[in-house]
Amino acid sequence: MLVISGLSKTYSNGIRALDSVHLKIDRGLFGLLGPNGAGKSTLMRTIAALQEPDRGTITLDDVDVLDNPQELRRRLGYLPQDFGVYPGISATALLDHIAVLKGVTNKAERREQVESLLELTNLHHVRKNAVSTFSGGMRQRFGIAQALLGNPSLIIVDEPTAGLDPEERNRFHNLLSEIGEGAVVLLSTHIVEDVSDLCPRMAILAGGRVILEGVPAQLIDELEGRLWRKTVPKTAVPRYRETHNVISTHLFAGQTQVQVLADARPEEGFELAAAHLEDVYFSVLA
Amino acid sequence: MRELIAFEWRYHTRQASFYAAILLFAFIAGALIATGFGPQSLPVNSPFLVMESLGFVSLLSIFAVAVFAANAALRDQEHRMQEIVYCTPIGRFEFLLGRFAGAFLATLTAMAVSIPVLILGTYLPWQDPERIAAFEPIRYLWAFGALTIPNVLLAASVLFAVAFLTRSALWTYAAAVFLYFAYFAVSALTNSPIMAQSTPGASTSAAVAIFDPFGFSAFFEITRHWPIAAKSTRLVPLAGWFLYNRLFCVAGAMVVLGAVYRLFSFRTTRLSSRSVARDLGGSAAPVSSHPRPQVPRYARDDNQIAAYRSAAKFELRIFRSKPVLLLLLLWLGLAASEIWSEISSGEYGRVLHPATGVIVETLRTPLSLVGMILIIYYGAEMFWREQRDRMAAVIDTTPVTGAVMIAAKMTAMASLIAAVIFAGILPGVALQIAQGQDLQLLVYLSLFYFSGLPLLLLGALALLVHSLSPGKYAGMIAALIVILLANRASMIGLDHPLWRFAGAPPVRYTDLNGFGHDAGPFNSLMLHWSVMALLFVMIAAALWRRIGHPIQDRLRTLVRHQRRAHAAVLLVLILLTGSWIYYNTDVLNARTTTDELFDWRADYEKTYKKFASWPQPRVKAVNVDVDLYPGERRYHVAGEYALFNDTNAPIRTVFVAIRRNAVRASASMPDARVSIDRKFGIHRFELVTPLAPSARTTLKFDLDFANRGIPEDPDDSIVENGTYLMSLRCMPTLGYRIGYQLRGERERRERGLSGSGESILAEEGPEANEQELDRVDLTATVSTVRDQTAITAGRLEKSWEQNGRRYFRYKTTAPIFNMMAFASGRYEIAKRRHNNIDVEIYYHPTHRMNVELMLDSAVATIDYCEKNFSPYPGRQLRIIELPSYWDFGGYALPETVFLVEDRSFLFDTNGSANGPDLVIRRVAHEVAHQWWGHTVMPATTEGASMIVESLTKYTEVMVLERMRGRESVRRLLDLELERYLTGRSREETSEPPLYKVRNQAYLYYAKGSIVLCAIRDQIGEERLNAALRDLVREYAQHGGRATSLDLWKRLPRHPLIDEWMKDITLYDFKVESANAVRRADGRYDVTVRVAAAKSRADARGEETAMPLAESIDIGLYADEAPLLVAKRELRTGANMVTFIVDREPSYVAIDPYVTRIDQSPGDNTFGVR
Repeated sequence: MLVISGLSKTYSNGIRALDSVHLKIDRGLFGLLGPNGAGKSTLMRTIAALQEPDRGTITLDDVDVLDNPQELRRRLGYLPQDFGVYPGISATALLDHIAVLKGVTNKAERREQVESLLELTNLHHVRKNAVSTFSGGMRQRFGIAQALLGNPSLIIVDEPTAGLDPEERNRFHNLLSEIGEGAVVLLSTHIVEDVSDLCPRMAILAGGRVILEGVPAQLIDELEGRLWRKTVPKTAVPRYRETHNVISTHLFAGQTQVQVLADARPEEGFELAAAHLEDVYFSVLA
Repeated sequence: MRELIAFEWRYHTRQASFYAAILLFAFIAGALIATGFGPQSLPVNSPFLVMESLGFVSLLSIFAVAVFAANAALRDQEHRMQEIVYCTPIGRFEFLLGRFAGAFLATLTAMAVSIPVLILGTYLPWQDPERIAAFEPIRYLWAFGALTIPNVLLAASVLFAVAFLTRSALWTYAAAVFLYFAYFAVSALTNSPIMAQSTPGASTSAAVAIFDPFGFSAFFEITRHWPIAAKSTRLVPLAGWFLYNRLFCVAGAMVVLGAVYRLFSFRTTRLSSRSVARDLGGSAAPVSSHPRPQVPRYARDDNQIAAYRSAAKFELRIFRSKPVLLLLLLWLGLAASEIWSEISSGEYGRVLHPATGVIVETLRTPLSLVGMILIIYYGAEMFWREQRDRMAAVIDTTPVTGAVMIAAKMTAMASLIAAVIFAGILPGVALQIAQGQDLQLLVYLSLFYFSGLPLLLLGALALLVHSLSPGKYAGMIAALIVILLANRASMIGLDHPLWRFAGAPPVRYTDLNGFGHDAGPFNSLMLHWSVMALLFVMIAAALWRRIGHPIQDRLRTLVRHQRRAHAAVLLVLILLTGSWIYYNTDVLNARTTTDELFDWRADYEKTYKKFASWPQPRVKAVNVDVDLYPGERRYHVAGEYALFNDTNAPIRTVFVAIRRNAVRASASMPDARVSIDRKFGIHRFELVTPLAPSARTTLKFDLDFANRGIPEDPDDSIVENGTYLMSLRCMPTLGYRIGYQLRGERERRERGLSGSGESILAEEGPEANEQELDRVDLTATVSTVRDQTAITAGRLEKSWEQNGRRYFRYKTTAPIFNMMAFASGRYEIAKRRHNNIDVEIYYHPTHRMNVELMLDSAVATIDYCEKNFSPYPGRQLRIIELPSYWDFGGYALPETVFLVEDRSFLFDTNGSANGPDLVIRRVAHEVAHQWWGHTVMPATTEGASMIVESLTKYTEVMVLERMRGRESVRRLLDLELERYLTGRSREETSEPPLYKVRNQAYLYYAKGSIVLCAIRDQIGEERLNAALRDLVREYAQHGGRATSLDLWKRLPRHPLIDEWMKDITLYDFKVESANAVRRADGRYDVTVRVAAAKSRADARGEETAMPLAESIDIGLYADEAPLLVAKRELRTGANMVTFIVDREPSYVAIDPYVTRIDQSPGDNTFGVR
């Protein structure tokens, strides 16, 4: 159980990246959604003890992480949003090295872990190739393999599916859902589908604050029957924004659709729409 | 295009590294100008010094250029802008030109800061007003344009090319280091004055100067013979080797840039050129259908040692990087050339046996330079590796501690340093094996400690700097500044050893004394620096996860760090070791700054000069017991002087000077009251009953000297093996000591004293009355440890063992000048008896090589001098080998001659055609001093060294000519002429005529030998020797001191002799053509066209033309043998001379035996067509 309470961080340029963030996260996948600049990466990096907050506490299974980052690191797997590798080093060698750094010092155990993670991430056939020559999807899978080394109880994955093609993403989701069974997996993303596909619980972060937290299905349920959609001319959009609670506009087959949140049909031509997690996201941000 | 360059310029000038570079250049220029860089004789803003200073600054430009070039070429890749930038429609030419011009201009801008710094520094309040010339901006602009800009252009284009073509920062730095290596190699080969010590008379190869990437060698080559006047006013012209060198730089830059343009492509290399792993994972089968391996769960084992091993293994991959291997290989080549040039071309072209000590000493300086460069570059590379490869987040979320990562990096640093040392040693070992020398592996291994440890500590300092730096490049330049500061703290007035991080007095190795007494201070200081480095490493480790974070975050991390208690313990340890060192340097030893010493000298003169004219007794006999304890480095001297009043007045007061740092000193005279002036070590005796004329008395003394702690300058006189203790250091002297006086007009003026502190040569003779004039009978009992021999002047009366020590009693058979030394060492002895004189050589057991030759030379010299001057007064002559600490080639005292191991004993006499000459000359020179110096004593006034050194040099040449033939004299005088011309060009004050020579070796040795040989050529050897014989007779019989005028008076009146001795007379001969035509009788008509000129120069080298009409030797040579040497009259202007010879000559030489000072000797020989 990861408990975050009252976490705040203001950068020296005045940007308030985290503003009294409270979260309780149990085992399983937890989705952290938010627009760019919402403070997701700051939160992730702070949990990973890569930087210090101004205020607040983080505990993992009752261990105070801020006071005792070393204890955290022993249990942490971290896939950064953007990472590189030492050039010219094979996947096996690099995994082996990181495993040692993580404290897996028995050689046989380490080899077994590395081998099985290479299998798990389907990189076994390229294990002797330099990681720096991997494609984007392979590199992300390598990233998850290194995060899983040492069997962490907290796994942080920061924007893991950005830049992956649909098939890669699908594979990646499978991987994540499998590992989510035994650990706290914190998935930070701005792709709503990632969360709706994978996470039993989620939170939405914006402007450094948690503005919504819950179970995706329940959150979607709350919108059921209140979401209305209408196809309008593009020029009319500003007028709708003024008069209605527009949470999003979409282009659909070249036409503009506005989505409005209302307890009753807001106007002629609106029809009830099925709610998705994306709509939840837009509704709280709007 | 303009916009592109402007953008680049703006980009560079907004980087932290740009300001770091400005700071660096301003610091170097400021340090040079503020310390009054250059000889006293040149204005600090003279064109020569301005150019030299800007040259120094441009030497360091390469650091900045490397940063800017790497930044220009690699930033797209590092910041992953590559795809965006390379896909814009910009042309290759515009793109490359923009990038290059930006980096180039940014470097120039940063360097230009040094110009205002140099200008402003001229007017600092402490500058000597006499060294400030009128401000002329052209001097700065010219130097910047002619030297700096081409240097930066070449360096920038090479580094830019490497950066763009390899897309690798590592290769870029490697190229930068390579440029330095090229520079060092050229400097070593051209014997550039910028290298540690340039040796007199060593040959230089001007052609090599062309390829010096910094133009320094060519600059020095072209100004080598420039007199002071020229250096003060003339801009260095773009001509000769300098022009070619500059053209080479610019053309080289253009070629390199052209190559970049041809080879550069916007295609990003990574994907196209490397093999890319193929992903099988993209197959159609969904993942869930694969059998899923389960990650096994294991208990964790938090083993930082294993982490360290793995991390270190990763760091050590630098040894698989081609740039590093290439650099090591290049350094190996550089080390080989350094060793080879030290062995094979030292002073006077001597060749050395490659003894381990010589090789280790040669390696020390380049090793630490190369090591520092590598630390600066690879320190940055290692420290920022995780950031650069964007691995930091992955690594930093593992439990690995900063200490482990830093330890791994320090391990790699240590391995790199060790590899550098190893690569340096290899050629030395190879050379020794090839020449059959015995290898002293332990001495080689010691380099890892004496040179390696300081480098490693500097590496720790570099890591600290990086851990506090905002970025890699700024960190690199900051590390450079900090390391420079650590090395040159004394430049900004911090001359206490505690200011020099990782510094210690150099540890010298000599065959005789090993590492001797230098190792102790080194060990103490290194302990202190190691503790400090440990703290640095701890700080770097604590900041490991905060790399690049805002500085206040990092400081907060430090303050809160859980290991602050450890840091506090280290701080206390640093304080303790620091105090211990302070106790050793400042409490056990007196440290005096130069200013304090000058004040002391001035005060001495102010206090005691007024007593200088008071009559003092003379020493008639010295009876002394000297107990040497070489291992403990202390000695005890007790004895008495028999004194005698040879004046006409009663003596009431006797002044006795005893060296101040005696541990215990007592002196007594019968029936006298003593008062002691501790500041000057003066014991003033008031005689209760004045000493009547012709009356006698005694002075008794009992003194202890010891070495404790860490002295400012190591005391090399009492050492474990090879003690050399001069009587001036350890025995009292009487009367006023001129040697204590302050010299130098400016320093004296500042302290209210007039004159230069040196006595002026007056026609009526010397004024001073110093004690060394006395001729004394010496009885000395010298004791030492049991396995050593103790030596001084006189016949060995008796030697015995007592209480485990050996005693030697020496007694002179004829009076000697009151100057002697006591030596002790584990020596072997070679003896030869000649003319009833025992010639003995005391040498280190493994240094037998030249001992026979030395005996030959000593005997030949005794023969020549006894035949031509006077009988040798003593019955023994001892030649004693000393460790290479001493910077003299030899030192002659009565009946004893001291020679330094690597300046005669280690000469390889088979190594070159003139190999034996050097050994013969050195011995002949010191033996000849028994006449010139010890039989004829010079007055302590201007021109004294002409009596002591020039006449000795003449005798040396005569002995050499008898032993080795006339052509060997030609080789020698060629070197002496070069030495004179170079020496006057580097004169610190002003050049006097020969007869008023002061402490100027290029005059009394070099010009002196040429002039005396020329006089011999004019008047004949017998007439010259007759004059010298007369001089010896007069001063040997009547005592007193001779001046150069006493010599001049005895020479025949001859206008040329006056011009050579009393003026500065220069000649310039040049062969313009030489033709040989076969005659009908089979012989050859040779016609030679010679341009000739003669001039008189003033003290600053300003010349006035003189008419020339003199008979000069002209030699015709076939191969190296002379066919004909004949005199022909040469006049000012063009001359045509003709000869008839039997064989066809290969070349003609004007004045082959160097009887004239020719300003450009290079054009005196000419191939005959």
